[in-house]
Amino acid sequence: MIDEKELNNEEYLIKVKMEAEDIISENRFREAFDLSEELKKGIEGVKNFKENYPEFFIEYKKIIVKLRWVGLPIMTEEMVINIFKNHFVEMFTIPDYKVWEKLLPILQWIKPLENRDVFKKNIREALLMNKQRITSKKLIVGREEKEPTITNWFLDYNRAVGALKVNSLARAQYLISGVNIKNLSAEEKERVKTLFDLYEKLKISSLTLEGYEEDIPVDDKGQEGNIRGGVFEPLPKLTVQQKLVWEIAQEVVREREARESNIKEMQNSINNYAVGSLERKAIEEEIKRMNTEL
Amino acid sequence: MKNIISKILKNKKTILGVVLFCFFLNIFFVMPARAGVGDAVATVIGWITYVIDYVLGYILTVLLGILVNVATFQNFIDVTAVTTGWVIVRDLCNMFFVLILLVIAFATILRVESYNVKKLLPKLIIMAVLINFSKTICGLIIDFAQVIMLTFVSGFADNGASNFVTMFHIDKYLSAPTSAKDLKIQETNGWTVALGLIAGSIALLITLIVVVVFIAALVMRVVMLWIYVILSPLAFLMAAFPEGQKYSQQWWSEFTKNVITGPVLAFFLWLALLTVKESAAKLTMDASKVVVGGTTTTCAGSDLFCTANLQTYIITIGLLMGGLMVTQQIGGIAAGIAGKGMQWAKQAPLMMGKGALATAGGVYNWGARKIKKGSVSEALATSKKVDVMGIDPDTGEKVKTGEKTVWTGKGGKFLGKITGGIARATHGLELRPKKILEGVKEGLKSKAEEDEQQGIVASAEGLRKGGVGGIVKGLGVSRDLTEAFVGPGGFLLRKGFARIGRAAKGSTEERYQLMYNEKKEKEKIEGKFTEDEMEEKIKTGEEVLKDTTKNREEIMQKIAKTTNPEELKKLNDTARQLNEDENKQIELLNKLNDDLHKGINIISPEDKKESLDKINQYKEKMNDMAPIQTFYADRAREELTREAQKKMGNKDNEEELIDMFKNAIKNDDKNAAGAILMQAAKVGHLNEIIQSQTSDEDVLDKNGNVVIKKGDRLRQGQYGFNELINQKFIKELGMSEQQALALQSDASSLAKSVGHFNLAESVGTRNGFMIQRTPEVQRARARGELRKKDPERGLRDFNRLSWGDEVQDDNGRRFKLNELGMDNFLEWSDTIATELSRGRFNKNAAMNIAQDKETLLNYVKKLEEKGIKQFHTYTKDGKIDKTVTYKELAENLIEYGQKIRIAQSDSETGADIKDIKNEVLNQQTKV
Repeated sequence: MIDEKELNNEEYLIKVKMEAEDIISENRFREAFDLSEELKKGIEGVKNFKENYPEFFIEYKKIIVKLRWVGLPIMTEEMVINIFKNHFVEMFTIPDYKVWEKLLPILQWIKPLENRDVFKKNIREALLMNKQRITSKKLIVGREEKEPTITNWFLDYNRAVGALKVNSLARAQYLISGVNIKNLSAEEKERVKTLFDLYEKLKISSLTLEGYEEDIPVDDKGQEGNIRGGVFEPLPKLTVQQKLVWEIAQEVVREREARESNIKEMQNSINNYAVGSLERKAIEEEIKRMNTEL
Repeated sequence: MKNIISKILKNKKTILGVVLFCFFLNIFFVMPARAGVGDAVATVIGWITYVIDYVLGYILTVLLGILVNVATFQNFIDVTAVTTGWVIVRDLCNMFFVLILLVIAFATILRVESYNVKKLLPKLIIMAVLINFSKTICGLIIDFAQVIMLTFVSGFADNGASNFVTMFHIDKYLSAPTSAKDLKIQETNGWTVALGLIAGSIALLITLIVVVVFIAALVMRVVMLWIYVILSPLAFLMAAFPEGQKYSQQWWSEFTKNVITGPVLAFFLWLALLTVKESAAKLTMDASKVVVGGTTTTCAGSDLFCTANLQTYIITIGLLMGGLMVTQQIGGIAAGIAGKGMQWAKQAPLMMGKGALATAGGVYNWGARKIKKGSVSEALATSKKVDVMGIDPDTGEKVKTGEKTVWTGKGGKFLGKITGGIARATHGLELRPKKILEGVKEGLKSKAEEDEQQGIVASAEGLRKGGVGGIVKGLGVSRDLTEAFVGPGGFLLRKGFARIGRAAKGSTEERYQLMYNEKKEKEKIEGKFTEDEMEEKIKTGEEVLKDTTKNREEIMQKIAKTTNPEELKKLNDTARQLNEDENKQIELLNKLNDDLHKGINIISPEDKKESLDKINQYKEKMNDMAPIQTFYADRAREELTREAQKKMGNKDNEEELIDMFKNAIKNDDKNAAGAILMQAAKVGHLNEIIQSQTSDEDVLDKNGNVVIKKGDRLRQGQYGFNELINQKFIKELGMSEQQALALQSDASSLAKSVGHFNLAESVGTRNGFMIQRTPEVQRARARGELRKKDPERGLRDFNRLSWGDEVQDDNGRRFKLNELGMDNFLEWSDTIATELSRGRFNKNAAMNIAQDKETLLNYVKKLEEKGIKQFHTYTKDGKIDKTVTYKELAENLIEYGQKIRIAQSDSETGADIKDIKNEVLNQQTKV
């Protein structure tokens, strides 16, 4: 476990930051989760770390939350709910972060489908309770001025489009012409859009074709493809060039397999001949030649 | 004085005060002086109730007259509103036809298939004609229903309202008990009169509500039928084009419902009038059998509350309410009103039932207690379990595929459900309407639930036992996920996937039967040939032999001329091989000639054709009725997996997961093994789980070459994944094939979601059953999925497992670039060049690709041989930046990977992470 000496060392903090950035940049979710756990245990293991080293504490906390977002698929359902409830905004500090793609393995892992719906509902509720400021300017909800927290954004959203399932047109209309939306910068607009898109996606039951998280494969002749999110996606047809290069790739793999198989056979048969015998030498040479070819 | 009087008159409160003062003076001082306080209160209540009874009675009398009139109403299509309205709507619709013709014309030009002239025009012409007859058609349908309805109505309409007075015992509501037997129990005083009046009001109220509901239902039916007739041209118009068919169907559904509700209501009215006395008498007889000590008839207040009359009354109300319930189920506007009527009526009978039972004494109390204990409920809810049978495709034997509950009530299956539902919901025969309604609802729901349960039970049972067929036996016995999607108006149907749309049809048994038939038919012709085919085969064989001999002879000539020993050796080998081939061919030809002469393996062309036709027919039928994916079967497995997941916790450590998986297999615990597989897939360790197992047999590729040797570790990738499922889950743990494939499919989906594309898309569906994809197909499908990803993200986020497979042998783990990786290299080449220069290529992928550099370079070499040598990189504004050869790119990528590897091994030996990062960045700049 990381000790106090390391934790309050600035160089160590920089080192951890670099490592975290490296992990995040390559989406190494397992390592991200493991590092976040290690850091969490470290700072929890030091008595009064928060009080004694507030700046370090904040920095580590930031790193941990970012790593957690990357390591989302590894997290327990409870941890996921918690991060949506308390740290949603930090998600936007990770470039190109696709929250739905991260949620997908968790949802696919949850069985049976009814339980997925419960989990989705819990995330929705967690978001509704999130008090983090997601944008900078104050909101006008009804006639009142409110803090731009996620909770208040939902208040505005639900007033404008209703709490039931909202179709994409109504959502788009809100995101273009909503009173509070107009004052936002492009980046803030994107944040709000991500939030509401996710919220709407979470409303769709996994027991419907549209909300079923897995692809439904179709292999019947003439109808090859996948049904994904309620839409049939046919298998893309290959061009002549694409077919050709695919065949070349297959040929390369075939040749490699045949060569390796031959080598293995020869290696197995080599023990049948006495050391120094002509046969053995011939086989050894042949193996050498084939390896050189490789 | 005048002023004082006018002031008093103006002050309403004073007047009210004076009246109340006199009233209470009368009650507390005058009446007690005459008859006692109790009687006085009873008299006042009696007065008030009497006024209420009078008003209710008057309304009821008027309404009964109306009920008879409404029930006999016949004029549906000739009222002015209908004739005028219908003409306008008809003319409007006729106008639209011109517009629709234009739409068809444009759609045909633009090749919009659903509005194509060939498809729409015939329908449109028929509908154009029918629109003008829509009123007549509606009239005919309504008349048909009216004939039935009036048959019943005429049974009670002749005597007008008087029938109803007798039926509801209205004459008895306010009459005092008169028979000697009744008087023996009751002593007449102020309270008995008041009680009688109150009971009378309750009975009146209930009767009134029931009558109002009937009238409202019938009146609304008439009105709605008028409206539907007026709109009928629109319904025909809408039926002419695809987008309107939904509304047309809606019109037909509502119209039919409203037409049907009339005869149903009339039937129950008639039935109530005709049979009420007999039904009540039967109940009296039955009830008297259980009376302890021979208690005689009891009366409470009025004649209505004497046993026999009350029973008749309850039965009447019960029958009418039953009629309303059935109407509600049928639907339509009348049904809606009937439903609401039931809501209004639910309070009054509750009071009525309680009051009557409390007052009527022993018989009812005993009866009610007895009933509540469940004797009647059991009688109503009698059910038995029957086996659902199917045919095993392998053996052709009948096998049990599940169990289902059959309700054996008199009213058949449907009624059985309702009665069973009532009984089960209320734990006894209930007189309370609320409970009855709940029971009915539950009863109706139970039909759907039974199907559901049947699916779950059968599947779960199959799973637990792991017996033959296992989960497959759960297929199709109930609605599955697909079915929900493809129901009328479902997504797939709307999108035109008719075949998938038909998937909901057909049961497991039928599919099994077809599979079995197909298999048997195939066996009949397998390895058999017609005489012509055999002769053709021999002819071809002879040609091959001739070619081989010619080749051998040419080689022999060459041998004679050759002096070079190496070449001689090669030629000798070839000649030997050709000689062997010749001998084999001669052997084959001898056998074929022999078969032809002796008639072995010979089949007549007619028989062969018949078999092939049959096979095709079976295949087509199977295609029609196969579901894509079975929800319930999967669900049962999922339940068990979930249980195992809970026990397992949230593990992500590779070694721990491998140990747990090995233990699960050792302990024969397939649910735990399944749960671990899912967990491993979720945390990205599926490849390690595959490699942790050794093969129990030689695994061959499609050409018969050994891909994995017996005793070797399973290799990561589709070969290994398939074998893990086949050898470990199906053979060793006894999982049924479809269950195991559903698990493989789930794990494969997870692998794809975490970016491990070499294990993605490993399971498909054909003919409604899951199939394991061959490695070739799996890679092609995975490649299709990978191509949908953004190249930048793909190169940054996806590690080696989207580029190739990993094998583990005596020398440790080794990465092998596969077709996926080579395709990524080619497809994303320009992005690879850019990302390498930015140092944003996934390090894990780069290191591993560098490890199998020979394969990549060999691929590039082969590409060059085919003339595929170079590509362009582009600037941000889309202009060509540089021309790069694939060889250069491959070398850069390999160099990058090798440097990363060096940097990482330095890190493992304790180098500072900062230095490593800098070093990597420097290397990237160079690259």
